[in-house]
Amino acid sequence: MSLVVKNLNKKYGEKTVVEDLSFSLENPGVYALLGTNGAGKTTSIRMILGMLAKNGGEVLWKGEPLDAMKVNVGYLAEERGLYPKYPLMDQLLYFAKLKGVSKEEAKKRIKYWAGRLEVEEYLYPPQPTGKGRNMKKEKPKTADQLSKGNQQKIQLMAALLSDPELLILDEPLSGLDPVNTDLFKSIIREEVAKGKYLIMSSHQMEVIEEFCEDITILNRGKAVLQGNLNEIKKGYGRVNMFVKCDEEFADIIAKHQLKVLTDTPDGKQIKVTGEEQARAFLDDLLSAGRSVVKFELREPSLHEIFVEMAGSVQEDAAATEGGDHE
Amino acid sequence: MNKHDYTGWKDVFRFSFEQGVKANAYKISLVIFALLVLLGVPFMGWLQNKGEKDLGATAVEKIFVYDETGLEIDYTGFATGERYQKLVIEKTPDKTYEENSKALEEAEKPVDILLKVTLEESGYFQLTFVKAVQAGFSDDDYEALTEDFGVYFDDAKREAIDVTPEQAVFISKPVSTGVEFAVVDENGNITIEAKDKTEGITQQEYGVLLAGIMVVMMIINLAGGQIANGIVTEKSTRVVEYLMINIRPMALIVGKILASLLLVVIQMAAIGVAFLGGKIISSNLFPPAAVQTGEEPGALDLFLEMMGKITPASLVICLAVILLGVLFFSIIAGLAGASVSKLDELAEGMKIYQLLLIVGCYIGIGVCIVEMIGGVNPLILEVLCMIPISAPFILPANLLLGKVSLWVGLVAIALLFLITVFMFSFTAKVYESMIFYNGKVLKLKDILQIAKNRRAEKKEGK
Repeated sequence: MSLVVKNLNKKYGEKTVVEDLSFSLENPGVYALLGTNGAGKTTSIRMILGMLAKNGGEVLWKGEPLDAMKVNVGYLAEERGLYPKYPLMDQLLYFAKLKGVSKEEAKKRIKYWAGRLEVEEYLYPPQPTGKGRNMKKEKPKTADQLSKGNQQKIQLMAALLSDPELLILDEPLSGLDPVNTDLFKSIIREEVAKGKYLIMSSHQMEVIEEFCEDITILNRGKAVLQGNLNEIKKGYGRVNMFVKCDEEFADIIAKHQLKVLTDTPDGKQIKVTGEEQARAFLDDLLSAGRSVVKFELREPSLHEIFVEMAGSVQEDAAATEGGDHE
Repeated sequence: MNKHDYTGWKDVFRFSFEQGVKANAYKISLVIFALLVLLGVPFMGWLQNKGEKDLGATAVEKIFVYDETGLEIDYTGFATGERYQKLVIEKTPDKTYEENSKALEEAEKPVDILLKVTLEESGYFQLTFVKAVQAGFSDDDYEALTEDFGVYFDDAKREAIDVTPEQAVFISKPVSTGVEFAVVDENGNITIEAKDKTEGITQQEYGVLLAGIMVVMMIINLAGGQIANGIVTEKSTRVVEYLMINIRPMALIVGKILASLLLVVIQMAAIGVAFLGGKIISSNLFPPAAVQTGEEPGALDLFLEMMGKITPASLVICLAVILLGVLFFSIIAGLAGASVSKLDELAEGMKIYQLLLIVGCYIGIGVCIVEMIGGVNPLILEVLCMIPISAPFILPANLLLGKVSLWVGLVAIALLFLITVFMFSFTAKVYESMIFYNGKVLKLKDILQIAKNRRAEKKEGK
């Protein structure tokens, strides 16, 4: 096992923000840390990285306590951080230096990632034009001159510059347009293909489903659900039935005493107990002569599982009012 | 704290220093300050010179001198040179001063000024000039004449009692008395223990002390401001999130403090060099009209004289006290920076820092004033020179002026070192909790509570 998180605990005064969190990454791949705002994801990540003192528990990397200063770790923080007024190139070289990457190597890697992330124009100002007094030299770009998305790209570059073994991405795709979302996804896929270990937190459940095999859902600091995503879904069974008919079929729903979860022009989502109940419902629809346009029975989505497990977002938001450490 | 806590401070230092130097605000302020000083000093010299030269020959025609000193001074000797050669000076021993005053008011031209010269009971010569109502010369002319007359009188009185300028300088040296006690130690050896009794300071020494306080205040304030600003910027922009996985908070704060210190020292050095450059330009372009022998040295002369007398030990102690003082205040500034989440709340977070700085500075100014009035009790001065918040302001100049001994400096260093180490240790406990804190500005009691919680957490962890 490469990364083992055991019984991680964090308290602020009397308030417990992370309670007995344990999980592990056995093989290269992406592990998802999910939870509502204030659930303790960022605090857990900070403890894993050793930025924040923990009240209990341990984090092991290849059997040894994880020290982010010794292990090559890349981190993309949830709240993007760049110096607003310093030249971007200087910042990247500084971050690379802190990771022990030599200046020459850092320059090569910056060149590569600048091309890959399509931010060359911000890192390499055009050559001066004109001659003598008329020569116009463009100043190096600073972070406050960049859009949020481009700042995010520079931040991702900073996380990747040391070619990390373990990459922690806190909400990597938030705020990105579809084109850049695809760009980030392709980079994440490449890193996984290279055999890297990734921990990712995101509120975009479809992204998690796309990348992650194993997940932990946190609610108010506690792990309320964790394990292999496919097995979790299987455990729930095929309980989501999607039905669309040309005719109205409310009478059949009433006959089976089923609960309609959503009703859209694309059909109704109906909660069933399992395949048997769904089959009986379909039989009744057909015997009643209804024209079935769509009939689908599937496991709950991660989104549905998340909403069920993490509970009301409003409740958690209320719990994190005022100053906190998230 | 261990070595690991400081790993990477050099990288932080280098980056913070490079970015500080590259910042337009720094470059512009450095150039503006240096230029202002470089050009300002010669300009002041020019103004002074211009004022002296433009006056030309005086419009004062006659001075009556009423001398009560009993010294045989030849006042007519003043009427020399282009400016005063037409001036008539008469002594009026036959009449009383009151009679002369009345005569002055009633007389028509050419009596312009009545001068009364007295030796006051408190031991100084008083020259009182009375300008006649009908006198037709300008106030500038009058003022220049009175100043020149004072200088002439100073020389003339020495000549009257047959003292050379060199002897006068020698005689006017300050007097310091010391009390020594013969003490028998445990082994029966007799040793002498001295107790110095310090006299008050001159106006020039006051100038040096005050300038010392101002320079140290500027260094501490600029360095502290930069550090607090840098920390809040990193906190509010969340850069600190990235930094903290690569370096420990202590390395971060140490690198920042040293970089800010170097930036401020460069700024101060540039201003100092510009000042000396300005002085050289000024003295070459506008040489002083007359350097009076026996005159008390100015603050700059005293400073230069003081620089010449500096011993390696006193220099090391002074630098160490200033450096430790800057470190001590910078750590407080760093904590103040970490206690706020947004730049616009920084002023509120810096209240305690500002208060300590003002208290330290005011103690320094207070000591200067009391020293000038009549001298501070040596014991009180020594204690104030040792207190960490006032030591950086008072000790260096007092040590260089010989007002306190080297051992006071050593004790001050020891105390400053201990409190700085304590502050570092305290900062190490609370900094990482504070650096991720987001919310209202933390008060002192909140910071102490964080430290208490950290101690409890540590115990719990064990």
